[in-house]
Amino acid sequence: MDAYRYLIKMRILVGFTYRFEVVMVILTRLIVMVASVCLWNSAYANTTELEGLTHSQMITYAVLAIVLSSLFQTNVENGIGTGINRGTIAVQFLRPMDVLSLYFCEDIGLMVTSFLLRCVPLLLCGMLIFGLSAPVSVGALLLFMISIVFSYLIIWLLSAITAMITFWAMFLGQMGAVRIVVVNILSGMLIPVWFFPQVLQDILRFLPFQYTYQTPLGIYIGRIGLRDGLFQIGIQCVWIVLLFGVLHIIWKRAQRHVLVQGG
Amino acid sequence: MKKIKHYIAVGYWQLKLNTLCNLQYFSYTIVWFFMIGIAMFSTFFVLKAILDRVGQINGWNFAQISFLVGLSFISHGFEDMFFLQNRFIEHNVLEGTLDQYLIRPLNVFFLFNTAHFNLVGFYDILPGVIILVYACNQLHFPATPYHIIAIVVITVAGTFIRAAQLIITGSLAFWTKKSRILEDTNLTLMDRTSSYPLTMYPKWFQLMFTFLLPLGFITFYPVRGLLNITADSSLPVAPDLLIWAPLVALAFFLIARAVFNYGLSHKYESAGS
Repeated sequence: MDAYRYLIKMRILVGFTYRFEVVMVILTRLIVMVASVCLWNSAYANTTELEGLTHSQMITYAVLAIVLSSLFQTNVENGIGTGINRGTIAVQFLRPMDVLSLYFCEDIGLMVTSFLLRCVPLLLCGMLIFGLSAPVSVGALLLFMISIVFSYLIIWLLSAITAMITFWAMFLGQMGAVRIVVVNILSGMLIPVWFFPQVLQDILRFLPFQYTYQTPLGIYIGRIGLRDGLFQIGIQCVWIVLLFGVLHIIWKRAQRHVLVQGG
Repeated sequence: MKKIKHYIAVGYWQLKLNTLCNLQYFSYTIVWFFMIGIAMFSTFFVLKAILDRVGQINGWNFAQISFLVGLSFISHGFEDMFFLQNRFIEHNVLEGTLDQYLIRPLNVFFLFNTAHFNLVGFYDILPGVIILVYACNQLHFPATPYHIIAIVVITVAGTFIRAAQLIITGSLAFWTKKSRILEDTNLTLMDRTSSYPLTMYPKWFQLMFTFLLPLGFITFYPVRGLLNITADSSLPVAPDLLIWAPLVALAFFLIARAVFNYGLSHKYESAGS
């Protein structure tokens, strides 16, 4: 257990090393935030409600979506991709710890750093500049916090499953970026799924994506009630178990398929 | 004349060799194609989902914004195709690899900007063209020689404004040794100012991206002029005339070239091994 704690600690320390990079990342996310808020302000110029969301709810949703996207950082795709390309994955297999747990711990460290160095400043900017609303109730805040933990687990498992491609293809290329783009559009990160055509909404109910962003954000702004929120958190748990099972099966096969090049 | 012919021949061979190199990594480029295609159509989809409900944003309807988005993607694609290497000037400065250009009997700025050709840029252009054709169709955009030339002028000007922005920020590496961290900020800025109507932003933002960094000329102002959109920008001048876009692009690109050349001749240390 100490080894895993050490990995998390090291990732946090590395994260704190590159301060100028952090400033630039915050600036970039702020630009995205300004653009998103201005777009929604213009959209609400002549209306008070869109798809059951008031202007204030929509701005809160858009700002928090950007904050969450800064929190949901994973490096498992890059890690495994680089490990296989350079041959360093062999060293990781020699270590007295599970390789996937190693990447998970590193990503937990990355998430802690992202929370402190990116999310908190972005959240403060959101509150001060855009008047971010408070959660609708204490219960909603509690469910929101539980839900974002499960959202992160779903995203991490999706990233890890994508990373498995490298064991067969030898090269991941931009597959990680494809995964991010697909998750962003289908999860309600860019625009709530409630704005999608009904057919697409019905299909997305049976996929894990909307439970990563729309569920916690919907709970926070009150569009998803406490009862429905609890139900959706239950669905998140089901997806975590399913994706974990899929990852476990692929990982078993992948370990028999390791071909070390480079190094 | 002989010198110009020589430059064209060198440019042609660098282009040809780079295209052949790019085609060697077919699976890599296919994944790029999917990634860029999905990313770009998601921007389009978000705007459609909003505009289907509200009709217009700051006086721009969906077809007009699609025109803006299409041209923005196309100029992004051409910029990636020909000027992508400027994002990596930091690497050249740290490794000292600009030396290889310094010893050749040709202009370094020209050589550096023709030494790389990225086929990946094509994958930005393709969705851009599809969206632009859709917009033209919706707007009943007249296919007169003037209108076609106008689209070409906006594309070329937009490409050079984007390139100038990349060259200036990339050249900061001559002074700071670091410039890649500005890349994401740069791209986000350029895409957010060229894919949406600039008038939806606060006035200080509009002023900044008109007079300080002329990113509003990548698509917004020339397209507003071309489509005769009369939404009030609350700016002291009306920069919608088509001629402004190439003039601004030329001035901005010359400034960028001057920054690159100054950094190269005064600050480049041929570090690395």
